[in-house]
Order: sequence, then structure tokens, then C-alpha cells
Amino acid sequence: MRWDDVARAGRIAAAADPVLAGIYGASIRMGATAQDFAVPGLEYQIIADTAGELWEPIIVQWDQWVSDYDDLVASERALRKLFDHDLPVVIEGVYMWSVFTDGASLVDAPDRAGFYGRAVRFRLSPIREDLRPGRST
Amino acid sequence: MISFNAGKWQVLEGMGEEMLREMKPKADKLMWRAGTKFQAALKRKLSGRGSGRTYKVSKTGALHVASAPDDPPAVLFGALRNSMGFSRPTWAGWTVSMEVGSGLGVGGDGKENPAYARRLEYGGVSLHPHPIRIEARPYMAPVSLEMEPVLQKLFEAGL
Repeated sequence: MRWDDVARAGRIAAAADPVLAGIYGASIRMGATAQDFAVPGLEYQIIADTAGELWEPIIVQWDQWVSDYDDLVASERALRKLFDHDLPVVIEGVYMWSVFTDGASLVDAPDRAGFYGRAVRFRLSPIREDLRPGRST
Repeated sequence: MISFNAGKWQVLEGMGEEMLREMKPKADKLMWRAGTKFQAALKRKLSGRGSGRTYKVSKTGALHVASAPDDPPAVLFGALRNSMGFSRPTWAGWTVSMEVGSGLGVGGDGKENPAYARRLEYGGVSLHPHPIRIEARPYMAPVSLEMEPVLQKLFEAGL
């Protein structure tokens, strides 16, 4: 099981990013139904995970809630810079493949809502837990 | 010895086209099988019972247990499930592709409701009567992860 490692690494990396910290401040958190819907806010959630012979692909969705269009663009650029790479990377100590998969709007009519919402998904694939260095099966 | 003059290249290109002609029907058949399998997995995923909020359905008066956030959508009338289909294989040179999802022709009812399908997959905000956050009930992403090894095996065995 690696989704917890990936979630932790993602949260720390996002909070340490100056652009994301500037837009969202302390409102970077794991999405949960009980929490209030806040703008600006950056929430992440584990969408799906599985395990292959070597890797454990995990799909993580980031929900970006902002009131300014330029902030939305800057936020997505920062997220892609953090999590979209052609080769494996080490993010907060976790060695993994990390690629952008897709994105979608979360608000049907942003003009009427007065805020923007956009989800972006990344596929993060760390090595299987039992194959990590220093561990045996 | 391989000669890189124009004539040799033409021969190689000709061989490629011949190979492609031979492979195409086989690959097409495999794509149809892959599409059918993917669509069946999607329909299975969309056939579960909910474990979330219970409410009365206004049309029928029956009680419905909705899906909980993060779980795939529970069946109410089956519209999303019935809309799942796949497109015919499309060729671009040596690459063949196919789309699977809501509103596509083969195996589905062809009725697409993109906003509804998207909101269940990604979550979102419904503005009326007042802004309500709707949590994601992903069904496409988990099925694509589940199907990856299945389809890989299918293609390896088939080609």
C-alpha cells in the first residue's frame, strides 16, 4: 500500500510551493465531506489505486477553487510543474513516475458562481511496497 | 548489407504496408474485444448498491440509497450505466484507438448527459437552488486502472 506515502508527499510538495502557498495559504488539505467548501482552497483526494508487478499506480485528483481566473491558471501550472514529468522523480522522498492524466471543470457556470473550480488528475506510480529498498516480502 | 538508397527504402515501406494489411483485421478484432470488456467492466462498476444517504425518489416514491463520496455511483434509473458504450476502432497509420464511455454508439443507448457523467466522475458544484458541493464518485478512473493488466494480456495473447 503506497497511497498514503503519495498523499503525504503531494501535500508537503504543494504546501512548499511558493505559487500554491501564495494562492491558497493554509487551505491545502485532503478533501472530505465534513469540511466546509472554501474559496480559495486546494483539496486532494485519492481516486483509485492498484498494483502491478513492479509499480503501484495511484490516481490523485486536485480540486482547485479560486475566485480569480489568473490564479486558476497559475495554480494549474504550478501543479503540473510539480507532478507532470517524463521520467521518474523523487517527490518528498518518494521515488515514482508522476504524469498528468486529465482535467475537468467543477463548476458549470463560473460567471454566475463567482468562483472557478477545476479538477486535475495525476497518475503517481511508486514502486510496490514489498519491493522498496530495505524491505523483504 | 543494408543499402539506404531510395529504392531500398521503397521496398521497406512496401513491406510495412503489407504487414499492416495483414495485422489490421486481427488488431480490429482485438480492439472490439477490448471495447466490449471495458464496457462490461464499466457497467459492472455502475451496478452496485449505494452506501450513502437514503432518500425518497420523487418520481416513484421508492427509497433509494445513494452512493457515498469516493464510491462509484449507485443505480437509480440506470441512465448512466445504459449510456456506456464504445466507438469503432480508428486507425492513424500504425496506431489504432477507440473511445469508451458515456453516449458512445456500440453497446450503449447513445444518450449522453456530459454534465451529469462528468459531475459524478470528478465532483463539482451545483448552483441551484444554492451552491452545493458534490463529492466525486469516480467510476472511469478505477475501471481504467483495473482494466490495464487485463487489456495488456489480451493484446499480448492476441498479437
